[in-house]
Amino acid sequence: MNLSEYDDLRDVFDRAMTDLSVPTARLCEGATRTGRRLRWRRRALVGAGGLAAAAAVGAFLVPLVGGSGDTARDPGMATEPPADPSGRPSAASSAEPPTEPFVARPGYWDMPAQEMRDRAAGLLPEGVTISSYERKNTEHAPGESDEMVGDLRATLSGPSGPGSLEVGLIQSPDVEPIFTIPADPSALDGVDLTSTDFSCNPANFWVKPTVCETLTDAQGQPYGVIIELTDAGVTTRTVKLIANEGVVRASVANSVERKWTPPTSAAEPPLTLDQLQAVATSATWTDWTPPAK
Amino acid sequence: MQDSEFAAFVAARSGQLYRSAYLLTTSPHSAEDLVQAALAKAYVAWPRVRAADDPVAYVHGVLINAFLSERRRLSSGEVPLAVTPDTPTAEADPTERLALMAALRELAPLDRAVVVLRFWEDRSVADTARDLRLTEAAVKNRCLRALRQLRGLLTDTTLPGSI
Repeated sequence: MNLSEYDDLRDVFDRAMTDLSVPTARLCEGATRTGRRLRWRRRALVGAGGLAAAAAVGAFLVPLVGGSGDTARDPGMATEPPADPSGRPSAASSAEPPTEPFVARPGYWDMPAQEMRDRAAGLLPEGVTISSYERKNTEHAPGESDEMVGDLRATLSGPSGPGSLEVGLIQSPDVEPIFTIPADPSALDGVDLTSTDFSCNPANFWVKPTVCETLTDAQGQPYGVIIELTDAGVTTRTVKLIANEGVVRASVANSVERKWTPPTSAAEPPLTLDQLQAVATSATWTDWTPPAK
Repeated sequence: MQDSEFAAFVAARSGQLYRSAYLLTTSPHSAEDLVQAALAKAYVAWPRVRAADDPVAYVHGVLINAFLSERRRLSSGEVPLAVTPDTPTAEADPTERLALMAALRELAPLDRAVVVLRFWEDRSVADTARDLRLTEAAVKNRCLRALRQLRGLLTDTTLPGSI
């Protein structure tokens, strides 16, 4: 390849892309809506203060429970290079691994997808089976591994038809010193927990849930949530629990689309809320420890 | 996570992303889907994206991975719908764009990604190899093959200039 070929193709690209209409508003609206749905599905916790408190109290009071909130540090908006007037993207020479918002610790959240698949298979009710699952993270960001750990994305077959199951095992960041478990839970009295991902605050959802139940311990502190909601015909059921310095989240939907969007694959998700809760609360998720390196 | 901040990012960068996606998918509808998918992931991981040294490059990387992932998924069993040709709009003469998209459509998806990264996004051979998880030799070979194919396809059109 010589230089003239390079420049000529660049010119062809430039000319072809000139005056291309960009549906910016639609892109933003669609991405935000889908992003909210994905975030709700995948994130474990948001809201550092209140959630940390919830996690800490849960850890103190419930044997299975421990954990904390997502305290992604806020380093401020990175400076972006000025936009090229032609619309050509800047040369991506700086695709360094992104700054991690917390320090990774080994734990059950490192469980490989195949192991999760094997364990999930043993928890499913009779007649419901795993027909496929994702072995690699094919949508990893630059600098991230394509290894699928702590995340099971499977297609289920069941009496009501096919559907999707996701189980997420998430490390709670920086348990110490930010999330010191208080000796006296009453120290957390008055902490606002309504903005946490374990509340049924309508602000947490993009559509109104048909079921939302916050699980609380004997002292009334939340340690989990059960949710069912339907959007465009797709019903999503989720159980999230704080568990041993992390979070276990299990979700099902009657869609086998990657983003759980229409069309539906069955009239109902492959697991009921009770069946899903049985999956999520199983100790099989938290009793796994990473092999020593 | 502030939606207004994300919206500002999209407003500033969606043009770049959309044009890259357009070249990768050769379809406005597929490009829109691809950009939305990449931006949705950016929305979810916004603290990480905004903390990246180059948020734009980060999201471009997600977009490329999503494109290749989708191609692999379709090639592994799903039958894609017929590609809807780009329809002319009230924009500037679309002839060249239509010809280019038709030619790009003939390339294997990975070859197309190599060409887009090298000649649209101006990435080096080394960066392209890293982003696509190829060897540098593979990038060069695919690039040569794609250019040869494009040259043959585009010289049959009335494109001004040549490649």
